[in-house]
Amino acid sequence: MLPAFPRVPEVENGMVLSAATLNSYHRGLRYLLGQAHEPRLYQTATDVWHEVGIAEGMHTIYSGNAPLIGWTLYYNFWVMDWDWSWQVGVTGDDAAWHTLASGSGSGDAHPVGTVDLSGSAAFLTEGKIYTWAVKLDSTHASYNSSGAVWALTIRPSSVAGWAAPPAIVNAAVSDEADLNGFRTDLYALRDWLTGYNHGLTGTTGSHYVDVSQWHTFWRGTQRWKAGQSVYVSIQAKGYQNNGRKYCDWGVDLVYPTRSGAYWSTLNVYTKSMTQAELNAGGGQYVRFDATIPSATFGALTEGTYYGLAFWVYLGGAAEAGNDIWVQRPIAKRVARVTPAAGWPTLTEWAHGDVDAGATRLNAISTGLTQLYTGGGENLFPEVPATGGPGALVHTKPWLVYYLAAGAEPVIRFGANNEGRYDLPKDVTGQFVSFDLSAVRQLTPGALYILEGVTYAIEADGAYSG
Amino acid sequence: MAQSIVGTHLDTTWAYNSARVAVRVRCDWNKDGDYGDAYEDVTSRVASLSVSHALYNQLSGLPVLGGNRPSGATLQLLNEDRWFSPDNAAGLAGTYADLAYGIYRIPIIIELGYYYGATPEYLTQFVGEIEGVDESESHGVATVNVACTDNSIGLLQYKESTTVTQDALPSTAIAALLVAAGVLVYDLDTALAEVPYSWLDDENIWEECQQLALADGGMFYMSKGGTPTFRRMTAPVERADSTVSQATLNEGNAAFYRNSIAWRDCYTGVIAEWAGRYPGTVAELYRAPAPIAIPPSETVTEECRFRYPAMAVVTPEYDVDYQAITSGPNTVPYGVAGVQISVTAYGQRADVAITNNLTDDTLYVMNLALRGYPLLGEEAQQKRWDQTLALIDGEKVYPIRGNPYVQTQEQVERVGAFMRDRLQRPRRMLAWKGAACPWLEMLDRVTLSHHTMTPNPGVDLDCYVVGMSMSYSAGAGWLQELTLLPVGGVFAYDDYFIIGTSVYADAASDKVAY
Repeated sequence: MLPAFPRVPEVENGMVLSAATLNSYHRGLRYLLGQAHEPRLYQTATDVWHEVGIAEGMHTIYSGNAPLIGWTLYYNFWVMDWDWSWQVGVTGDDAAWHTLASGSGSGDAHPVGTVDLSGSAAFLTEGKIYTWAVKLDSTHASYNSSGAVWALTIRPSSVAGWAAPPAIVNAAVSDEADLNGFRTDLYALRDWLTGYNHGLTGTTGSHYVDVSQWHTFWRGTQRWKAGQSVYVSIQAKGYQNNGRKYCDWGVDLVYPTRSGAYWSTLNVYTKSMTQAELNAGGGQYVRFDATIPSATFGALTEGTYYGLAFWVYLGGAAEAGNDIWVQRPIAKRVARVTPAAGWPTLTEWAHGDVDAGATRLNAISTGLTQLYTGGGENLFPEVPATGGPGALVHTKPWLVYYLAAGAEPVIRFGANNEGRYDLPKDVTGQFVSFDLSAVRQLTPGALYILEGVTYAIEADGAYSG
Repeated sequence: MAQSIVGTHLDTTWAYNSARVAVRVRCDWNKDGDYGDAYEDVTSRVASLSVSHALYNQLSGLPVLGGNRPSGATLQLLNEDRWFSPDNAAGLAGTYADLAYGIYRIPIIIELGYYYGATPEYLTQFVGEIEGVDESESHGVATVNVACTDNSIGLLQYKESTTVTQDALPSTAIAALLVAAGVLVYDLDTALAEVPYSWLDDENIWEECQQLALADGGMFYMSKGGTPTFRRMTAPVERADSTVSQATLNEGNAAFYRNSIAWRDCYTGVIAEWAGRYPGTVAELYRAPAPIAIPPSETVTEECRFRYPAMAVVTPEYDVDYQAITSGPNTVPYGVAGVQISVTAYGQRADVAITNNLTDDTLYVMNLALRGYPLLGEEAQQKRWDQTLALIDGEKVYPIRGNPYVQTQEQVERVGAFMRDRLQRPRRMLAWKGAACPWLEMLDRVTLSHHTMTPNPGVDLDCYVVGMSMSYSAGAGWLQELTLLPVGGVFAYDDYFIIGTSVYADAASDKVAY
């Protein structure tokens, strides 16, 4: 079984103050701290620019599925060239498109914003999975425009039930409201969590032969958390000519700053894949991975979306005749081990303690504040709208997935994804829930690949939408 | 808590050398909720009575306070005029027609106190129901002996089934069960720890309330006034009537005194076991062993007991979870022209009502299966607490096992530690008998001061009342025997931090409990 949020008892005046109750506050904080450090996968973004022809009308440049876990939609995309208009919307309960936000302009732009969905209850039901999309229309008479979507996510509107944590004052008479205030906020933060763990949509096989060119085959974005590292991984195979050094795999950090036709970048990782390494797969894909340390990324702004771009490069004429296949890119946040500065020291309470005062109790308030909006361990709950097959990190007990008719859904696990578990496939055309405890090879935190599904997401509970 | 004596003089009259006992016994013969009807006051017929309340039981001892039999009362009523005789058509049976078949489950209230001058001042000593009456006659003296059980009588055999409830405090769960049994007045402390999963499957409410209370380390019992009462484990260090002495018992009003050490209640350690549960994926909970035949235009209800308790049950799906046919066999459709099914699900069983809308054919439901989300059991775990005072020789460990509501380590951590403190030292158990103190209730604190002769130093102890029996005879006194548990050492400290009373402090605050 996976870790669960602890039970936190309610207290009342007249009740003895219990160490077990006080320690339950600590357990709640630590659980939420772990959630703030969850190994969150990047959201797959648009593959560079998606050009929309002037005759295409309002054209979808990005779409993905996400459950309505809250009533706020966040969008972050780029537009360039000439005249354009855009829409962000959803296909609702009535199977019709609903525009939730729109805009128009010309030239370069970076539409970023949130939409309050609370007024859309007529066609949206909380908890249901919907298809969200960004559309672009090239409105110039002669020239096309292009768009690149970085993020489309669903967020909780606010921390429902949250109140400023108690400020305990020594010599003041204790009160149930103080202690239950800790409980209220712990549960508010717990309920702020999405209950889902999204996957990363990746390529199922890109093939390159051209030398002396950087071939970008995957882009993704994530909301930056200070101090994080990034785990990156691809699978690769290929043919080498005359036993020469093969090709490079690189990872660039993409800043939200335009530079020419693209964005400013910083190379944060390059791996020269040698003949021997690629041959280790005997003609099959071999996984390459690395964890890029936090310092490599420099000073980034917490909460801002930054991108990653994966590329391969077959260098020079000497590599002519070589080819490279790449698939199943993975980019995953690796949060720092130590909490942000300001995280309190939580010492376990014991029977007989005589320091039930401001210092130890206000440490609980400090922890709550750290996890809240603006805190150093902000939970940043959100569920990106994502597509189909890709990678997931096993953190939830249920897998909710959608199959098209004739699909063959498979979980691939293991260091090189050599293990296989066939998922039920008899129900198509609707979301189904699968208890992942049946796949004993999936340990908590394990990365796995999912094939054959139109959409999939891990969840705390079976889908009832 | 101690009964209120505001407006009375009982605090002084009870200790008078020549205190005159005031007694009133009433029976609600017509069960209309009052005691004001004809012949409902039977005080003049009372020859003698006895009442017994107990949290401490000789058999189960200190580890299980409150997990005992209900309180009881017996009365001997004069029956010289054969008033109570069922053969006397001009007597009680003829007055209240419902008593023609005998006296059973009649509400009764016994009040005892003392006169202040000419004014009787009573307090309720027992509320319950008459469970049995026998008539006897000897040498022309006719009496009836009445046996009574407290208000738990309505719960002792009340079977209830519920769905699975998540994360309920034992006090909340007890309240729900009482309400289900029609009991709307209760006095329940807020329990300490939630029970992750609780449900009833045709189980007695009284026993389940006891188990819920014990899962929290607490006590469930009926008060003298017949009110279902739950006291959490820490109530003796929280409640005013348990922290401040409510009466002083001294040799001046004592008829009997015994001071013994209950070594049988001492243990070198406590082992507490818990076994959690977790929701599983959808599975078959039940499969009918045979086809179910439903006559034309009738409804048959199939009672299905699950293999596991279930969080939720999937409504049987036509042609998936069952097939509906005639004897032909011809398929019977679902709907008003064929078969209809409805399910009433509980935690571990379901009533499946199958309606045959055919007017001439018998319907057969084949291979009926119920699917749902089972609640699976985790492996049991246990934790041990050993004595810290090294007072008990050898190895004698008290096990806390077998309570289905003990499902988390958090529950066990509290109960185990407190229980270790309660059991790790030899306890005096005092018995004191004397003039009845009318207002005392279970867990009240009293001061026992007993000095009879020098150089015997006697005792001066504050104690909790954990048992009470009283006897009264017309024209004689009213005596009360109290079972007393000295306060000292029942809890590790006597200065715990009480929320709402203690002040916050970084040093030298009142002590945090388990």
